[in-house]
Order: sequence, then C-alpha cells, then structure tokens
Amino acid sequence: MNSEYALRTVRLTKQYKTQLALNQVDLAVRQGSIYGFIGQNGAGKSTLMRIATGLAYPTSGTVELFGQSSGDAIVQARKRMGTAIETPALLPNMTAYENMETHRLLKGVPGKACVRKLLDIVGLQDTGRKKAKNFSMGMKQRLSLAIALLGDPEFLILDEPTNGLDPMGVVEMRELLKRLNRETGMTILISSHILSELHLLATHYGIIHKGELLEQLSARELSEKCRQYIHIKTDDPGRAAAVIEGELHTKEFEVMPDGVIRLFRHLDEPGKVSATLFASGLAIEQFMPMGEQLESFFAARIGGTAHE
Amino acid sequence: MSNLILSEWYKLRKDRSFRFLCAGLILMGIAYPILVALDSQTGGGAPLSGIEIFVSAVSANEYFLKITIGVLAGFFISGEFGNGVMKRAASAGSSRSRIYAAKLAVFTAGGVMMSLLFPLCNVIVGSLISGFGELAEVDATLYLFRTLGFTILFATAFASLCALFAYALTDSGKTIGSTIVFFFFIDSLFYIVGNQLEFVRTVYEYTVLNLFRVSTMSFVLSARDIWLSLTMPIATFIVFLVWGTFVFRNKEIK
Repeated sequence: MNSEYALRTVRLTKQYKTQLALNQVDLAVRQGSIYGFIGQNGAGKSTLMRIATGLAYPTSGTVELFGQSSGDAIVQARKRMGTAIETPALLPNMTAYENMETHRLLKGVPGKACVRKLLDIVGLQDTGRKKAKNFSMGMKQRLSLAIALLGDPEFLILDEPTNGLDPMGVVEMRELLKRLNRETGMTILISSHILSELHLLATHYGIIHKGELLEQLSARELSEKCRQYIHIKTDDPGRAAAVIEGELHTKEFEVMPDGVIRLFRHLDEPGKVSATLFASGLAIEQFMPMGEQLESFFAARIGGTAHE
Repeated sequence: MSNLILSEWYKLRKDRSFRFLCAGLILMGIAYPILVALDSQTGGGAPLSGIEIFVSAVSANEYFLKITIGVLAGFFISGEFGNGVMKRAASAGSSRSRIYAAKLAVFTAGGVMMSLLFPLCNVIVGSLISGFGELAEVDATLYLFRTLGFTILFATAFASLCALFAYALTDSGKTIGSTIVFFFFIDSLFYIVGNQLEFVRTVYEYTVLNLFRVSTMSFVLSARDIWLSLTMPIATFIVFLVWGTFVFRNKEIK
C-alpha cells in the first residue's frame, strides 16, 4: 500500500504521568517534501519523532508511515526510513567506518562501498582510526547523518541535525539535504531551533507548541504571511502608484485604504525607489522596509513576542 | 534476523569490555596453573595434573562466569541505551522481539565463550606442565567434557538473566552493580529464608544457582541431577527470554 504521505498522524496524543506531551496532533508530511518542524524545547517535536520511529508509544491516536499503521506493517515501513533522533547515537569506541559498518549490517545494505561513499559525502573520509568518542559535536552530527543515509532511505527524520555544526557545516548539510530531496525525492522531516536555517530549506512547516500542532503551512503560504515589502506613504498615492508602475516597471505593490503603498519588489534597492519617487516631485512622508520575519511570525503564533 | 545477528556479532567482536574480559580470563587461566606448579615445587609436594587443576578451579570459575557476564551485560547491552545506539536498532525496521532475540543470542555466545576461557586455559596449561592426569572417582575425560558442557548450559541461563537486568535497568553501572549484588547475595538469601521455609529451600534446589554447583562440582551425578541440570538451564533461558522480550517490547527508549 502506498500513500501520498510519508508520515501522517491522526489525533496523536501522548500523556506522561502529569504532562500532556502531545495533544490530538494531526500532522501530515507529504512525500517528496522537506517538512520543517518548529517548536520550543519541550513543545513535543522529539516526542512525535520518537513515536514515529517506534521508540515511544502513543497514549491514543494513530501513526501512519507510507500509509501503514498496523503492527508489523509499520515496523516494515520503518525500513524505508533513516533517523537521527536527539543526540548522535554512536558507539564511542568505534571509528567512523566501524560505526557505519555496524549499521550497514543492521540494515542489510549490500556491499561496503556505500560506507566509504557516505563518509566521503559528509566529509569524514579522513578520520582514520580516530574513535567516535574523540569527535567534535559537529563530526558526530555528520556521522549520525551518514548513518541515517545508509540504504538510501525514502524518508529521513532528523532532530536538530545542525546542533554543534560550524557555519560551513550548516551550509553543507543544508545543501546536501536539498540535493537529496531534489535528486532522489527523499522526504525529510527536520526539526531545528534555527528558524532562519529552516527557512532556507523547508518546503512545508508545522508549528507545535505545548503539545499542540498550531499550524501547518507550505513555504509559499509562509512567504505570503512573512512577505517583506517597502512601506511607502506619499502626499499623492495615486501618482506614486503610477510612478512605481511606469518608472520601476513593477506591478507587485498594493495600495492600502489609508494610502500606504506596499511595494514587494526592489527590496534591496530602497535608494533607487526613493530617488525615483522624489524625482517625480512626490513628497515622501514614510518610507521603511517592513514585513515579518519567520522568528516573529513563530513567536506571534505561539503567543510570545507580538508582531513587529 | 540474520542482519541483526551479524550486526550484533560485529559489535561484540569490537567491544572493548568483551576483549578486556577475555584477555583477563585467559591471563588468569594461564597464571593459575603456573602459580600452582610453582607452589607445589617450593612446598615439595607432588605437582597437580591438568585435570586436578581444572577441578580445583571449578568453583572459582562460577564466580568469574557470573561477574564477567554481568559486566558484559552492562557494557554490551545497557551501554547501548546510554549512547543511543539502541534507538537506531529499534527504529531500523525490526520488531522489538527480533532485536531482543538477536542481542541475547550474541550476548549469550559471548558469555559462553568467556565461561570456557578460564577452565580451558587451566587444563591446557596444567597438562603442559604436568600432564593431563586422572581422577580416582570418575573418568577424567568424561568429567572434563561433562563439566564444560554444563558450564555452557548454565552460562546460557545466567546470560538470559543478566540480559533481563540490562534491558530493565538500561544503565551500565546499575546493571553491573545489580547483577554482582544479586549473584553474591542470592544464595545466602535463599539459604537464610530456606531455613525458615521448606518451600523456599525446595525452590532453590531446582534453580540454576544451585544446580550449577551440583552439576560442575560433583564427580558422580544421579540421573535426576543430570536431568535437572540439562532441563533447568534451558527452561530458565526460555523464561528469561520471554520475560525480557516482554520488558523490551513495552519499554520506551530514551
């Protein structure tokens, strides 16, 4: 049985003694998407990932992996997954190669060549006899990702994979995940605290707070909500609109009822915009870049800091 | 299942605690007959033969076996909960029952190997020094193979018991400490309670704790002893396999 979703939860609930970790969560990760899972510490991200990977059991509700939700079928569906949940899970007294080999055997991946290839991809090909316990956090994260990629999984679940990575490492991991998604259609569920980082990667988002999934939206929908623009107020909105259309050659602006113009183009050329308006004899009363960042959108959604 | 066993076997071969324990048992197994030979030389007595050294070291091997299996359970099984490797195994598309069975199979194999190292080194080195020798009460070769056979069987039972501790406690230190305390005090506890309650004493007589001594330290075994020594370790292994699987299936892996 196949499904358009790699992962789907229906009214998923997880209750620890006194704490409700997940409350009726309906999450859907479409196949081929990169799903950015956003939430504060303790929001329920890891709990949901742990249930999806079979490490924890739900109190109620169901989990579907590739359309499979029952006993043995969901266990089999997990063969199509690669996971890196919470801290990198490594055997400390083994080398990178030996750690990979252990998991290659576990997954029954034929041939040892894939081990070298994946170590090469994550930049750990030269670690030699160095034991995993002596690796930096960034190296451990890379090795953890390489292990998760063994067997060419169709669905990758990564919990905070950029923790401990240096800036270049973050960029490399992002590019690798994008490439895997683009070239192989790999579905990726990724949680991260670095929202700007997720913003450069994810095609879909889910916002979870105190165990409740507040919102799921596509990157396009998020961009609409977080759209950046130049806020312009002049003494003559009608003429300003004509100047923008005629001189700046764009129709991507809105004239608001109060006469304010929201210009969605030329965001990196504010000088050119103001000079054009000024040259047309318009008096500029207000001129400023506006819009919501992902962080402020997220904060507003969970009831934290208000909109900017 | 074969994937799981291959992976576990690879890990056991690379496990530092396993290697260290094996090396320690081999060293002690070689040193003991040499020290006995040196002692008898300085004391002027007749040197002990290989089989006599083997007999004299059987009771020591009981303790070595229990301690080393407990230590291995701590590092090889519980350690994987600590470093997170158990998470990967549990999320890799195999059922918990299979994971448990594979881990137990390889862990038991390791336990059996360790249980044989000390007595085998004893008899080999002792025989090299002063010959294999004979026993007055029983055919020496028969006794040797019978004792080694029972050692394998009882090591299997003890391994299944230690595995349960390891999966239940999920912490190396707790597992090692608990198994050692358990093995050191359980006999005394049974003895004290058994003196008050006949039923408890009878139960103890049927446990692997008692039968291991009976089967390995007696020269002559009755048919009943042999039957019990063959069936009880197997029954114990099955009971703890089922119990451990139940514990692991219901456990949330952190």
